[in-house]
Parts: sequence; structure tokens; C-alpha cells
Amino acid sequence: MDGRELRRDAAAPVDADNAPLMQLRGISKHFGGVTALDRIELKLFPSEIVAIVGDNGAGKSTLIKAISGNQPPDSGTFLFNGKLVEIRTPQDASRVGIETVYQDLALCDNLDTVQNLFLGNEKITSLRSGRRLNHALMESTAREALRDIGVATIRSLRSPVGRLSGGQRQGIAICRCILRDPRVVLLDEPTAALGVEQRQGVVRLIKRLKSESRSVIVISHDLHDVVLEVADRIVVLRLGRKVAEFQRTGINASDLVAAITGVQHFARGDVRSDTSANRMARE
Amino acid sequence: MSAEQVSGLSPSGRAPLVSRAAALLAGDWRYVPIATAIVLIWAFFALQNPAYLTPRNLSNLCLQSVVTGLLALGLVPVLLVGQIDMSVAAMSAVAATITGQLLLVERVSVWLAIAAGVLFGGCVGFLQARWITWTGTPAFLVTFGVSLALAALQLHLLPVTGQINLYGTDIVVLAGAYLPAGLSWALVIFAVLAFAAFRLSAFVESRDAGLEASVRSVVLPTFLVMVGLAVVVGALNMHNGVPIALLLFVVPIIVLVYIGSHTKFGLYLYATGGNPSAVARAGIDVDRIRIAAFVICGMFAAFGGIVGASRLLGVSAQSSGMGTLLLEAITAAVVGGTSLFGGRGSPWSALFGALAITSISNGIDLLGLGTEVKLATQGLVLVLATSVDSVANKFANDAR
Ligand SMILES: Nc1ncnc2c1ncn2[C@@H]1O[C@H](COP(=O)(O)OP(=O)(O)O)[C@@H](O)[C@H]1O
Ligand SMILES: [Mg+2]
Repeated sequence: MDGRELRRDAAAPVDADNAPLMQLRGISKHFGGVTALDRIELKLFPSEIVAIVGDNGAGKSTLIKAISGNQPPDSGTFLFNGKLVEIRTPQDASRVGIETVYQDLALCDNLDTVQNLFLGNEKITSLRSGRRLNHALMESTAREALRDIGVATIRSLRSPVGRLSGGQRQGIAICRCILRDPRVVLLDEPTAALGVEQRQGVVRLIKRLKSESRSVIVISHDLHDVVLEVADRIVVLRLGRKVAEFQRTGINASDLVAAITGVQHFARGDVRSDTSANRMARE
Repeated sequence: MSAEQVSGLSPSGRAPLVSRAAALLAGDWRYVPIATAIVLIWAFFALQNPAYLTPRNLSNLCLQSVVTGLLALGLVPVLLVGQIDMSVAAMSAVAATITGQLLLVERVSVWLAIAAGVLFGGCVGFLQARWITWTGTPAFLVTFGVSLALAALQLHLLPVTGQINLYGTDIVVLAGAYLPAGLSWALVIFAVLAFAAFRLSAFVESRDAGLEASVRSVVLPTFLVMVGLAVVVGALNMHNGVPIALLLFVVPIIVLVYIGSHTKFGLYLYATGGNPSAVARAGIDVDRIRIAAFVICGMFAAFGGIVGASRLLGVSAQSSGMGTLLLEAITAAVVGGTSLFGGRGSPWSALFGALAITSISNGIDLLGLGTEVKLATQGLVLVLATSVDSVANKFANDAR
């Protein structure tokens, strides 16, 4: 069945006349004897949302870390706008316009919202006023950016983010990434720690990224509320290999579950009822 | 997209009283508990012995707190990045010995001798931090080992008599001199004006950026600073005047406070203590931040030792290296509100903490209670302060 799905991909490339924004070629990564990534090929088109799904240990996080420069692959190349680029550090990734929202959010709990939003990217006052941190400018920019993405309800931007709710923290992590105006946003399990309502907030943010003509790669286990809700294309990893690739249109959760587990008739009845629920939710 | 739409991303209602109080204590009211504690300590000892709250004893108390305070001040950046330096006391002893020997044996100028001592502190701080960041060995162990090596080095550097007598040397300028009253008042006026100007520019910047800002944020703190400075300087001028040593402590505090809240480096000190891997992923060289913290610490430890030598007009293995100085310095920083868990605190904690614990030991001395009471009290304060810190840290982590 893997072959069938891969052929389907070959038959229906996304926006065939468009050039891909980013392209991964033969990305491999080994940890001792473990092959975490095995010659991964992946294209990402402008304004496209690609979801990466797979069981635990499939290599999803390793793939994100490779693209974000946190854990360079052993072999393989990255093309950005058709040009070969070297991504060995998060700064390399930033330079070509790739920003990451990490699974752990990478927030400093003891710093306030503004400090977190601008960490490593601070605004400085003019030479005449001593090249200090420009607290006022950063705060007003932060306020505007948060309002823009609908996270305007943080009571004080000047109190430590450790005191905020999971949804607010997720919003801050995404906002920080948007403030750097990326072309590509990588999200690793952005809804894993959130309640239902907060999850919808994040889904809306992901759609918003697309509407701002940014491309998104999102890892998620949440097939109904995230993957089938936002993805244009879905890539399935299993044991480090890309085993399937779907267009969102015309597939359902049971196809995905089958591809993820490699078992074709896995809990068929249950999945079907899930799927109809999912369809209803979407309509 | 409106805010209501994403109510899922927001909390509703008011925070419970406890967490609001915690927020205040972490913010503007941060120094209220320690200031209250100092007032209570003073009241207690003044009731026991009226000699305690005299200008003469307060002046003495200030001088006594400077050495501990300088070591604690150096510890603040190291604690902020979530590390510890157990070598500060030994470092202070060796630096004092180096400076003393340069003065006596090499007959170099006092400034050169001081600079050499401070430079030595910075170098040792750099080397141990480089080792810690490179090997990943816990700082506690490395710096403790280094402190033993430094103690050995001091014994090696001291003459056979085991002590250096600095009587009659120029080193006395550090701890033996006082500001003339007129100059001290001029400094007060300058400090208040500078503070007001700084506050005002922050206010103008906020207003221009369209943020809520009120003139009260300029007037009220300026008024408090003015009253506070006037009281302190007035009291000190009733005895010998403002000790130069106090300035050598307070001015670096102000510099470090400025660095802490207005520079990238200062921000990264706090950030590194909060979440080092997030800082690294933000493109900041975490090791460099940590190393810089240890270098600052080494330099202040050395300087503290030199000021101590100036105060005692001598150096011996006992005077600065051994004994309780290390634990006093750590206690001072923690009592003042700098966390052992990293990411929380301020250079002011060195001043408040050192004042608090020196006030206690000074009072115990004054009452003639002897060393055993002093040791027991110091131990108790250390346990108490670190316990409060731990509970506060747990609370901060649970608050989410
Ligand atoms: N730093 C590492 N060291 C050793 N093995 C690792 C490391 N990171 C990931 N792996 C291994 O690589 C495989 C893929 O892991 P990961 O990418 O985290 O999976 P996923 O995110 O899909 O759950 C797993 O077998 C995991 O044990
Ligand atoms: Mg993972």
C-alpha cells in the first residue's frame, strides 16, 4: 500500500507550475545504530501547510531539528528558492527565513512576555541615547503583535511568563517567531499540552500564517483537530522513512492511521466513526 | 481576529490573592521583606543595647558589610546564570596577598597593586568558568577545588610569619578614608538629579511609544531615593562621614543594576538562569555569558579581599581566606533575594543581604555573646534564607 500512496503523490504534485520554496534532498541522520532519518525527500511550496505525522520515534522531531539547524543531518542537502543552502545552526536557518516553535516552547519562565518575544533579537536605542535596550519600543511592538494574532489578553506584559497559561505561552512562542517575519515556520506538536479551546486558537494561528503567505511544517498527533483541519499535504514517517504522502482532500483519518501504523485494516470500524465525526466537525 | 474569538488563549477572572501578593513581592515590593527584616534586627539590638543605633556603630556596620557585600555582589551574576562560585573567599585572600606583597616587596604604586589583584581574580574566574563550561563539571565542585588550591597559593605567597602588615602603606585610601560632608551632599544632589533624569527619560520613551505612563513613576521613586539618601548620608556625617569603601561598594552595584536591566548582556544573564537551552536556540552563546559572570565574580571577590586588607591593614591566612566569609557572602546574596536556582535576583540584594547579616553579627559582638552564638545564628540564617528561596522557587514553578 505504501507504493500506491507514493504514486498518488507523484501523480498530483502541489501547484505543479510553482517552484518549491524549500526542498530537502536525501536527508539522513543516525544515532549510533539507530537510523532516525533515512533519505528523506520533502518539498515545501509557498503558502503551503505540510503536516508531518508518525508514531513515536518515527523521526518527526529529528526532521524538524535538522531543518531548524539544531541537529544537522549526517547527509543530504537543503535547497531554498532553488539555491543550495547550508543549515548547521539555528542562526543559519533564521538567515534563510526559517523559524521554529519548539515543542518545549523555548521560553524563559523568569522573563516577561516582552523579553521573551525579543530574546536574541532585542531592539536597541540610538547611539545618542546610549544604545540601551529599547524597552518602550519593544513593549509597544509586542502589544501590537500580540493583538494582531489575537493573544491580546495577557494581563501584564511585564510579569514572568512562567505564570501564564499553556495557551498564552504557546501564543507567545508563535508570536516570537512571527516577529522575525519568517518565510517558513516549523511547529513541533504545538497543541500537545493544550485544552480543546486553546487548541482551536493555535489552529487559527496556523491558518493565519498561511494567509500571510508563509509556509508551515507542523508535527502533530492530533489528526482531527490539527492535521486534517489545516494541512494541505500530509507526510507520513515511519521508523525514519517517508512511507506516504497525501493531499488533504480526499483522505480520511483511517487512511492516515493505516499509513502511520503500517496496518491496513486497523480498527476499521472505530476509525470510520471517528472520520465521520471529523467530517461533521469540518462542515 | 478579535480577542474574544480566542478566549481559549486567555485566562479569565482575577488572580487569587496569594499569587497577586507573590507578583508584588517579585516586582515593585521586592525589597520590602528584607528592608523590614533589617529594621526589625536594628530595633531588636537597639533595645538590648542603646549603643547599637549610634552613628558611630552604624558607620562601623557599613564598613563591616562592605567586604561581605562585595563578595556577594560578585556572586549575583554567577547565581543569576544558575551557577555558584565557592572560591570567592579564597580568591579574596589571595588577591589581597598579591596586592599586599606588590606594595611591600615590589613597591609598586597602590593603584597598580590593586589592579593586579583584581586582574588576578578575573583571570582565575575565567579559567574556572572555561573549565566548567568545557567539561560540564558542576561549578560547585570545580570552584571548591579551586578554592583549596587558592588557599594553598596564599600560604605560598605569604611570608614565613604568615601575615603581611600593611600599616603605613597607601592601601589605607580604600577603607580608611571618608568623604568630606560638603562633597557627600553634592554627591547626593547629583545622584538624585541623575536618577530623576533617568526616570524621566524612561517615562518620555514610554509615552512616545504609546504606552501607559504616569508622571508618578518619576516623582514618587525620586522622592523616596532623595529621602533615603538624605537619611543615610546625614547619619554617616554625624560620625566620620560617608566611608569611601561604601562608595566603592554602592557605585558598582548601580553599574551592575544598569547592566542588568538595560543591556543585552544583563538580560542574557537572567535568561541563561531561566532556560539556557532556549537562550542557545535564540542564537546566544550561553557559555560566553556564563564565563563573563564568573569573571565578574572573580574580580569582585578579589576587590573585596583588597578592601578587607585595607580595613584591617594586613593580610593573614585567617583574616580573609578561612572562616565563614564564603558562607556569609552566599547568605548575603540569598537573603537579599537572589535565588540559588538562577534567573532571579538583583545586585541590590548584595547590599541588603550584607547589611542584614552584618547587622546581626555586629549586634552579637556588641552584646558580647561570643563566637558560638554568632556561628549558630549565621548557620540558622543561611538555612532559613535558602529555605525561603527554595519554597519561593517551588511556588514559582507551581504557579502555572
Ligand atoms: N539525541 C538522540 N540520541 C539518540 N537517539 C535519538 C536522539 N534523538 C532521537 N533519537 C532516536 O531517533 C528516533 C527518532 O526520534 P524522534 O525524532 O524524537 O521521533 P518522534 O519525534 O517522531 O517521536 C528514535 O528512535 C529516537 O530514539
Ligand atoms: Mg517528537
